[in-house]
Amino acid sequence: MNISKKLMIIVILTVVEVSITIFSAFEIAKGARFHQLNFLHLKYINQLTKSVNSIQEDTPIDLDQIELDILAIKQQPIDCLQEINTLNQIVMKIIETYQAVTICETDINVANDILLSLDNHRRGDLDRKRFLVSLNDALHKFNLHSVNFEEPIRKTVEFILLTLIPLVLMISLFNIILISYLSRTISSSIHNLTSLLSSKTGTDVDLDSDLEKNTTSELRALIIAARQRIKGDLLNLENNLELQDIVNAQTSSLQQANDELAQFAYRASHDLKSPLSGAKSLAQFVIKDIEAGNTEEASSNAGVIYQQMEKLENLVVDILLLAKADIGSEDVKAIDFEQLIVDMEERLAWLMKGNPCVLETSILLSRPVVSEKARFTQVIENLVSNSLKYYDKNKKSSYVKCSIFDSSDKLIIEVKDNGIGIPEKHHHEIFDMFKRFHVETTTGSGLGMALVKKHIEYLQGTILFESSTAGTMFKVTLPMDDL
Amino acid sequence: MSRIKPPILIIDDDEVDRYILKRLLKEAELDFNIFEKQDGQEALEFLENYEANVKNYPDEFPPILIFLDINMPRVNGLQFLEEFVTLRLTIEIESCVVMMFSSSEREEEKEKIMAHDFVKGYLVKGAFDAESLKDKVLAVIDYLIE
Repeated sequence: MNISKKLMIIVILTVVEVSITIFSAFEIAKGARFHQLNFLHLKYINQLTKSVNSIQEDTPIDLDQIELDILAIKQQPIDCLQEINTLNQIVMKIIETYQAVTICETDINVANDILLSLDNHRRGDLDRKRFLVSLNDALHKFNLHSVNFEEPIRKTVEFILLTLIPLVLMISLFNIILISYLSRTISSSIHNLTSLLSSKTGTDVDLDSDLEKNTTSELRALIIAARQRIKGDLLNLENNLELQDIVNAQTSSLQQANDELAQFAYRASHDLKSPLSGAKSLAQFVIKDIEAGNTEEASSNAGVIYQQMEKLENLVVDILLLAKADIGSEDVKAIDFEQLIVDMEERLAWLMKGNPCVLETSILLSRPVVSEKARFTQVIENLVSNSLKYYDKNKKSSYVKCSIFDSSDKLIIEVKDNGIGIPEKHHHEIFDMFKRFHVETTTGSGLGMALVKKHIEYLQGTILFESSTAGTMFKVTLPMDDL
Repeated sequence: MSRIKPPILIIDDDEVDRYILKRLLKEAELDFNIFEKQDGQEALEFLENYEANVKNYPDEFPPILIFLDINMPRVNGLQFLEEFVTLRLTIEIESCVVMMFSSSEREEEKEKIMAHDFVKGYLVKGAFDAESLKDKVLAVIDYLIE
C-alpha cells in the first residue's frame, strides 16, 4: 500500500470518528429536549386542571380558555413527533421504546377528541355534564400519558449513552492504533530507504533491485526522479571538469609555447648579436690598422667582417624559414626531385669543394608527389649538409646516400652517412634550436634540425634516426595521400 | 732576468671572438702566453691532462686566467664552471681565476655564474676597449710574475 492511500485511510477514519461523536451529542441533546417537552406538557395539563377546577356550578364555562389550554397541551406531542426521525424510530423499535411515539400519537388523538367535544358543546349538541365528564377523562389520560412518556425516553437516552459513547471510544482507540501503525510504516519505509541509500555506493544494479523490494512506489518514483536530477547535475559537473581540463591543457601548452618563444628569442638575439659585435670590433681594428699603415691586417680583418655578415645573413634567412614553416603556402605542385637535388648540389658546392665525401642520390617514385617544394628542399638540404659537414676524416672513404622513394602510400626520405655520428648524450637534443654538437665546424645556425622537424610536423610525418660512430641515418616518413 | 709570460686560456667556439680578444690584449700591452680551446670539453680535457702539460709547457702551465664564453657546443660555459669546481679539488689550479666573456648577459645566469668565488669578472663582447680590458685584467691577476 502506498503512502497516499495510508494517509487517505487516516483521513476517512478521523472523519467517521468526528461524525459519530457529533451525532451522539445531538442524540443525547434530543433526549434532553424530550424531557423538556414533557415538562412543558405537564405545565399545560396543570393549567387545564386549574381551569376545570375553577368551573362553578351555575356559571358558564370559559370555553375559549379551555380550548387554548388544550391546544397548548396538543403542541408538545406534535413537536415530539417532529423531532423523532426514521433512524430514531428504528432504534426505538429495536430497544422496545417505540411506545413513546404511540403515546404522543394517542395524546394528539385525545386532544382532538376533546376539542371535538368542546365544539359540540359550544353548538349545544353536547350537554354540560357530559362535556365535563369527557373533559375530566381527557385530563386523566393526559396525566397518565405524561407519566408513561418518561420511561421510554429515559431508556432511549440511556441506550444512546451506553452504546454511542463506547462506540466513539472504541473507534477513537482503533483510530489511534491504526494511525500510529500507518505513520510507523511510512517512517520506516523512509528510514529503510535512507539506510539503503547510505549503505550502498556504486552498485546501481543491486540498488535497483533493493529499491524494488524495499520501497513504496512513491518513494521509488522520488528516488528515480532524484537520481535523474543528480545524474544531470553530475553530467554538467563532468562537462565543467572537462572544460576545466581543456582550459588547463591549453594554458599549459600556451605556457610551453611562451617558454619556447622566450628561449628562441634569447638564443636568436644572442646569435644575431654575436657576429654583429664581432664585426664592430673588427671594423675598429681595420680603422686602426689603416691608420697604422698595416693594410695587410686591415684587408684580412675586412674579409672576416664579410664572413661575419654572411653568417648573420644565413642566420636571418634560417630564422625567417623557421617562422614560415608553421604557415602553409599556396605554392603546391608536383615536385621534381631530380631538379631539387641538382639545385641543392649547386648551393652546397662550397661545402662539397675539397670534401672527400661522395654524395649519392637515388629517386624512385611510383607517382608524383604534389606538395610545397620549399619544405622538401629545406628538409633534404639540411640533412644532406649535416652529413657532408660531419664526415669522418679517419675513415677511408666517406659517403652520403640520399634515397627518395615511396612504399605503401608512404613517401620515404632516407639520408645515410658514415660520418662521425652524434654522441649518444646529445640524442635527445637533436631537434632543439641552436644546438651544434661538434666544434670543428663553426658554420651553421644551429637551427637546421629544428627546421626539419617543423616541416615534418607540418606535413604530419615522422622522423627517426640511428647514429653511432659508424655513421648516422635519418629516415623521414610522410603520408602520400595528404601530399 | 728573463721575464716569463703568464699563461692564460681562452675558451670560445668563435674564432673571430678569440681573435678580437687576443688583439685587444695585445693593444693593452698585456703580454700573455695564450692557450685557445674551442669549447668547454676541449678545455676540460686540456686541464685534466695536468701532469703531461706541466711537462710539455714548463713555466707555462697551468693558466692563471681563463676567459670563458657561455654559448658553446658540447660543454657550454655554465657546464664548464660546474666541472671546474670539481677539477679544482684534484689538480693544483686554485690560483686560476675565471673571467666570463660572452655576448649575452642574462641576469639569472649571471647570478649563478658570479656565485663561484673563482669567477672574478664578466666581459660583454663588443662592449669594452683595450683600456678597460687592461684595468679589469690587472685587477684580478698579479701580472708581474717573475
